[in-house]
Amino acid sequence: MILYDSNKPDELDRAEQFGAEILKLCVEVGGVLTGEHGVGVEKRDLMSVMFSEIDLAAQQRVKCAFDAKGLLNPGKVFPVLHRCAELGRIHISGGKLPFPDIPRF
Amino acid sequence: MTDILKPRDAKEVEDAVRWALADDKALEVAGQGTKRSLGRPSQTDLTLDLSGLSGVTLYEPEELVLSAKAGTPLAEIETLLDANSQQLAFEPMDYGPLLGGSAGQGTLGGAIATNLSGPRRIKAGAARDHFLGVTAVSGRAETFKSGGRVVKNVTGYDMCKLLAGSWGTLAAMTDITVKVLPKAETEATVIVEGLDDARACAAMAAAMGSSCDVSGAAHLPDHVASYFDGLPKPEAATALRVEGFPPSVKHRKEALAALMKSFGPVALLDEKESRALWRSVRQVKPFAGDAARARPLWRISTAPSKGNAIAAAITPAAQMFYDWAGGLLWVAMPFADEPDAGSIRAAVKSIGGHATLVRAPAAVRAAVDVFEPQQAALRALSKRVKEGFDPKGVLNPGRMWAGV
Repeated sequence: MILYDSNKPDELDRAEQFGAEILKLCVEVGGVLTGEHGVGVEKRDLMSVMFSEIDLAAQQRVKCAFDAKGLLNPGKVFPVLHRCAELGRIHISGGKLPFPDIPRF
Repeated sequence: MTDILKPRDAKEVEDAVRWALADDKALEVAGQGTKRSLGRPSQTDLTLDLSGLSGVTLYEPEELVLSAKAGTPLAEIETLLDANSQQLAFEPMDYGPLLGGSAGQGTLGGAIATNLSGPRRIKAGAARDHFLGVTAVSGRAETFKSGGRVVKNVTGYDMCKLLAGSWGTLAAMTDITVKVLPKAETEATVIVEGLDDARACAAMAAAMGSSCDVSGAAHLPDHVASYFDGLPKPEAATALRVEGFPPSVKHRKEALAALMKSFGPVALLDEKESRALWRSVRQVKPFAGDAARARPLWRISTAPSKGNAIAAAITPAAQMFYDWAGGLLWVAMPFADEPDAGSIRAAVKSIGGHATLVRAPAAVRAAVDVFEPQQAALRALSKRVKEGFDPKGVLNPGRMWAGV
């Protein structure tokens, strides 16, 4: 548990950053991001600490098989939203998305 | 099928799949090939032989975790675990003798890909429940990983659950991490003698509902009992196994024997007899002999309370026995090359469950469904999942269902 004083302007951010550091260390020593509550939104942006773009694309293709239109909880779990059609075509090399500054939906 | 690709490491697996993808080739994904004749006959150009990927890469007994390359022989893993008084708790059953090979063969990858689980499944869960992490190459020739080496893990989608039981149709696994558990110090089996199927299913339900922590419950009817090892006499036997520390096993087997007296005469098997019996259950011994091998064999899973109803709907000329407290039926059909799929499927459809045609000649397996036919929505979902992993059908195409 990380205690902080929310009345002080930067403490929430620092507490969250500290939490992220703990999780990164967990992954580094063979652990995982979450053991009970899932990724959701709070740990979403840390998914790339544990998984490569290829790993995440494989998971998202499973999502596409169940939810082709992205109707169910869009924005949760996966740090970058992809269109399902795009996951079939896009070529990712060296773990880098082509044109990463183009907004993806 | 003559050509074999035998990669030496995970990178070469990816290279092989990339080559197949570029050249429009379909690959049969295999370890030692012990379950090659199970499933729809494959329409493949080459075999991707993963038996070269062998060896335990991490084993921490105190952490209850083991990682190995996918082609590692199961026997090697079981020997290593045994030396540390541990085991694969899902007790992978042994298809070797059943499919015309020898006992004790197969790889870890094969066990996981087929979700191979034995009599202890009713207590410890299936192979998939012990499968913690994986690295695999998809039909897109991309190496991906999922899971980890800890039990408590809900990070992202659990692809392990999807790959277990996918029969190599989604990805070629290269590295596998499983949970390992302490081995029971001893075991014993309580036999209730002479029960008919309905009464036996009731006895097994009572045993499973008791506090005796039963780890195996099988009913071996009169007509097949003589094939099993360890039984005191070749007559109908309802077998209930207890495992654990010696004082606990002693107490529970006595409590169970007392409970079972109301169903029929009770006999007790000691550790050695009990091990022999459950080994022969694990090998489906009545139907593994040369004489039985020409006869099609079905494996039907259902709710334990429904096992007897399904058995009653099948021709009395078939031979069968029950595992999983009545939830698993092994059914050997009476005539060579005649699986009688229509009546088996109809029985399963009306009562509930899944039937797999475990053994039949290739021509028969090409003509009738081997795995339980899927409803339209499930069929479409399976196809979309397949397309996500393997859009060009490079890996074991059609092994489970046409088009998947």
